[in-house]
Amino acid sequence: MQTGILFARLVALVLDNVSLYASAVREIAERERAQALLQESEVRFRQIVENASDIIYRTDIKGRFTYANPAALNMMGFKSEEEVLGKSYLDLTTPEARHKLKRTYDRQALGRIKNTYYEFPAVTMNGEIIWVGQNVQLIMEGDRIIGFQALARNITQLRQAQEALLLARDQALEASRFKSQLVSRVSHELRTPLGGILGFAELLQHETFGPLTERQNDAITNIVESANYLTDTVNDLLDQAQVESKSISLHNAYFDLSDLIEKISTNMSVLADKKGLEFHTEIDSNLPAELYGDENRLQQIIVNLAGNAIKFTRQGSVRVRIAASAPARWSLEVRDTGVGIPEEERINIFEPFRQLSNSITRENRGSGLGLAIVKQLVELMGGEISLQSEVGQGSTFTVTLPLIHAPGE
Amino acid sequence: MTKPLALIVEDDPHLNQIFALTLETSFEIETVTDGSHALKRISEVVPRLIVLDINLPGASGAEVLDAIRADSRLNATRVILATANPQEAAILRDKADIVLLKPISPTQLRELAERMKV
Repeated sequence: MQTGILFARLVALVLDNVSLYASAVREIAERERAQALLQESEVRFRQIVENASDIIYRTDIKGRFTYANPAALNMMGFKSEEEVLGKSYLDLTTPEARHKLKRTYDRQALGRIKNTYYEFPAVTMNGEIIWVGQNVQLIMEGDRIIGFQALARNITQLRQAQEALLLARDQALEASRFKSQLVSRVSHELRTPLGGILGFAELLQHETFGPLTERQNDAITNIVESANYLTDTVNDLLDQAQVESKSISLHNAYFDLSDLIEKISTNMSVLADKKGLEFHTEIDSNLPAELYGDENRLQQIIVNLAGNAIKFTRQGSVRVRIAASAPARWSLEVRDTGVGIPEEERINIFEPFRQLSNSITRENRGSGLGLAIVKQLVELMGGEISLQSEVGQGSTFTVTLPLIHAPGE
Repeated sequence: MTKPLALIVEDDPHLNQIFALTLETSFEIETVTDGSHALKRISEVVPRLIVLDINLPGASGAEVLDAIRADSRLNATRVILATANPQEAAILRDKADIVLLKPISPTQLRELAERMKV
């Protein structure tokens, strides 16, 4: 019986040791496998880091290099890692940039900011300045910051391109401003002497200085006409400059539509009569009697379109029709029986200084800005302008504008 | 019957002469060529009409206009503002009776002045 128990105990002991041994063997094998995996992973990551074309480096908490990948050494002109280890990143920048660079990373450490991006000039071993853009992370050991690691890139070319672009943009803006100022200044300076020419010519025309012969009267009529033409050109140039520099603003108010059309009609009829043309206006009775908008600019639009129509029409008629159109919109249509505009010219007709080729004569000359200004004014008012035309039959310009109400209504 | 007084305030001698010649058939004309003289004269006389330039030596047209509007003696005085600057014209539109952008046609000036005579 005793022998039986003893044997049983012995068996148990052996079995225990066997299982202990097995587990020890298993543990060792696992550890070795983990070690191998770790090594493999270390090799893999090292390969990535060493072969990366981006710059990768680490520093200690004081900013002294503890690691720099070949791309970093190559960019900075170091022959080996030893040359850079122990150096501070602050030694590799320009004196001007040093203070800001230090502050950036002091702040990151103090604020425990996980990741930052910063661009700064670095000075290579050859004394060349290159721009570096870098993402920097804190290296932590538990709660303690023990250093920084950076992933950086040479952004010199990008930076130069950006600077060139900014410079070009500033120069273009400056040139545009200068042009607008110049036009504004010139037009201002032209108005006073123009006043002298127009003023004395008209006084002569009215025989303020005594009776005129027919030939003198003809000559003075020509002076007045030229002065008026020059005035229109000055006005157009100034409008174009203002539209371009976005310094034009609308003065909206309620106005009586039929009053406006009558005013325009009085002037336009005189021009049309001179050329033996009929001039008609028509207002849709569905429109409210009062509209809200910039009356002066609307007048300018209509006078421009109707004036053009008269200029380019030799016989027949010019009609101005104002009508209610799609919901909450109204339209202004100027139709003539003039020369028409060939299709290939229609694309450019609203561009500044574009006029129909071969069509400019003394009677229909102009600054070439009228339609460009009209289009820009229409767009400023939130509307559109379109053109239908057939050569030899005539043209129709249609302006569509929103029916707006005074703010607060 | 004596003609009403028109005061012309314009520093350009040609334009000053043109405005005077344009209005002389209907108005008694007095001309000044700078802002400070204009301020002095409006404190002494009551013109029916003032043709006022904006860019003036001495005091600006805007200052003269403010002085006119602040003086109750000049309540009935009408002001035609003559300017070479469209932006100024837009700013002062509400204070003046009429704003004219240079070059000013004598025909137009005469018609407007005629309406303001009464």
